[in-house]
Amino acid sequence: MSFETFVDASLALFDLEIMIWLLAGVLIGIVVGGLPGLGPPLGMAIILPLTLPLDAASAIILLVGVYSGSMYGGSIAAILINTPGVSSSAATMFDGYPMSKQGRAGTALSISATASAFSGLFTITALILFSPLLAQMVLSVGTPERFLVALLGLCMITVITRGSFAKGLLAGFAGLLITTIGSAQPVSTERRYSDHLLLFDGIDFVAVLIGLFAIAEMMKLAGQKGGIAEGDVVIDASGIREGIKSTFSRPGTVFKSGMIGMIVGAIPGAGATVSNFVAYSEAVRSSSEPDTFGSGNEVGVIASESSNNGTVAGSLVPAISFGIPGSSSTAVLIGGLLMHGVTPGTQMFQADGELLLTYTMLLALLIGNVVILVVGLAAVTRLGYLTKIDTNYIIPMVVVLSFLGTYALRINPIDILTIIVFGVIGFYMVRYNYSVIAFVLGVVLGDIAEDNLRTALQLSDGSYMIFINPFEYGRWLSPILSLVIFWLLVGPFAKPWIDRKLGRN
Amino acid sequence: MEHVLLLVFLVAGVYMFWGAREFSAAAAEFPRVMAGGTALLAFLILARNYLTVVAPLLAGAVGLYLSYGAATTYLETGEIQYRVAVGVALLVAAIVARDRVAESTKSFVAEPKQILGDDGMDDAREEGAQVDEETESSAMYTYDIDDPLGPAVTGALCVLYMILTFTIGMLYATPIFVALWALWVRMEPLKAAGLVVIAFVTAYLFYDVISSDIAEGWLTGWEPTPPDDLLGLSTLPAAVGEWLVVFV
Repeated sequence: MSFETFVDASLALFDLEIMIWLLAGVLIGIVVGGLPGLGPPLGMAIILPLTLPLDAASAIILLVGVYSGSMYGGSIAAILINTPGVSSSAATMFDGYPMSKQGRAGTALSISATASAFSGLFTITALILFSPLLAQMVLSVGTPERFLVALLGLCMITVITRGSFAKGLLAGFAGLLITTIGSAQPVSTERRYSDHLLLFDGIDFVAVLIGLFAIAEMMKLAGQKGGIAEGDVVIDASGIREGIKSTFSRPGTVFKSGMIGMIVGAIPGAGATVSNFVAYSEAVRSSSEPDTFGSGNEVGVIASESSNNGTVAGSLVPAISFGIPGSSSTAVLIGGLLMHGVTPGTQMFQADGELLLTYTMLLALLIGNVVILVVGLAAVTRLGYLTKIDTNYIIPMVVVLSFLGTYALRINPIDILTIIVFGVIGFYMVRYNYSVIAFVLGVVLGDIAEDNLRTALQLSDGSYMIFINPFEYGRWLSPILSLVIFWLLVGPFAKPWIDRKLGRN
Repeated sequence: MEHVLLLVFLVAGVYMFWGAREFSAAAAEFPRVMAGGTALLAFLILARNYLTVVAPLLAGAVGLYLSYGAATTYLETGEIQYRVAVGVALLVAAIVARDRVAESTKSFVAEPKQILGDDGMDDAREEGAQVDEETESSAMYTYDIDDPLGPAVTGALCVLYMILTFTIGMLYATPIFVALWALWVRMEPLKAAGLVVIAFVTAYLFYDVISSDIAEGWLTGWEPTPPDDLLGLSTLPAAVGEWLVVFV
């Protein structure tokens, strides 16, 4: 770890502007997460074009603040009205809502704030301590491996997500295809599928993200019954202290769930939704009273909320190391990095590169968790207002912000068309179980994948054996990665045959 | 509508695969692979009910294409490419092991895969928790539509918003869009007016702070009078009144 850079990053946090953006991000995140139907990818996608006038550090801190805040914010609706504000708070509903019905909403909300904050604190600390090792690993990975890791990330997502493997792969390929419109950077050649000048610069990936996450979500929200509170939600302030005590009395659950979140979050495509359920079911499994879960057991809320904030740290690992999003939110974050001229990868760990930005971001997240704790506990009795906001007010404002933010980026009418086209495509992709995260991964990774592929082939004089033959090129990681990718792709074909040979059904 | 989505992917894939033939060899490689993969997968999923027949045919066709390409390259340059092995293998499989090819392809296309195993949601369900259909998937989920008209109208209004943006600019298209939305959801007039004002102020902030170009209609080149000037016009009657007083 470059100590000097770490110290510089710590000092940078004392900048008032940085603090303001961090606070704003966390607060926006809590609101975005608390409103059913929104969620961190949408909130981050809308804010993304608005960060254009900001410097890279302020922009990234604002985005990670939204990400982190929304992980806590999602628990508000889950606890108060049995509707998760974000999918990563789904498991929080199981015990949070029964607690609310028992008149213990204040306890549940304070558990959520405390568990989220402390889990976030120690997982981010772990990431900071782990960062020198991570840096060594990233810096030792060469161009062929970076291409293969990108491909592996894509394959992993199609494996992780429930649903047809073919659909996930199709989504990934389609996302990669979008990035081929415009110019091919590695060979400095234009690629124009039509003579339309407006497509000269290709399809803007920020517009694609906004279409997929904002417009598609608003279309979906317009077709669903609003998840708003039908009456007054009573929140007892006296439960705050009880909630804090309950969380502190179970450090093992907080730690274990946070680590589950961090590990699962590092798997591309898994995200907080998976970690949420994994941590919850682990808490059930390891409990001496498993039957009490689902009817207001505090451990259930602790486990799920610890895990989803732990996921934030985990998902940053592949994102900043290789530019592979661990979740939809980190896909938008990577978009933010690219938009501000920062390429994820080795640059993020080089002292003469963006290591300062990396440490500033991680330290800002640490402070962000403190903000979550303070705001979450202070505002417990007021959080119910979020659940009363009608989606009929939210939908047009989100659409307006999406249009304004996108158009203001380049004043290119193609961007408006892009958000509508991908909004409709994204709506139907989700409707029919096609992986949007795989699509987004393709869009984000397309240029990186092609760049590394092209460079790797230049190193090998055009031979693809650089990815397979360790003896000729002295690279052992590449063949291993190639083998894993091969099995992920071929496995679904071979599995029935293998099962038959082994006499399984 | 899923068929429409798949057709979009298929057509886009075929179009871009064909279009890539005009690029240089180096620039065309990546797009052709991606376009080919997109078209192939879209076709397989579209034809999932007929894979028993389609899959071996497709495998044969792809095998033939790869073999032909490798053979052509060998004849032109003398270079032996790995894809000849893949092409021949596919051809042989399509002819000799058609049933197995069909079965494997069906397994690949039609059935959900969860290779890494249970993610805990089934356990959670067993414990009596209510697992929503919407929250089952990890990175994606299916959901039910309560009102099918909602998404359609939202989409249509977005298209109208776009058209208005291209004609009169986004500054004034924004409040019109919000007003139409408020009309559609039968919002109370006072709340609707408030929302329209908020939307217009937001658009104005973008116009003033970020880019004034958003107020120009891209298709027409027309830029409606900005609010600042309109505000100036609002003082015109007072100015005329003063002049009249002086004149009289």
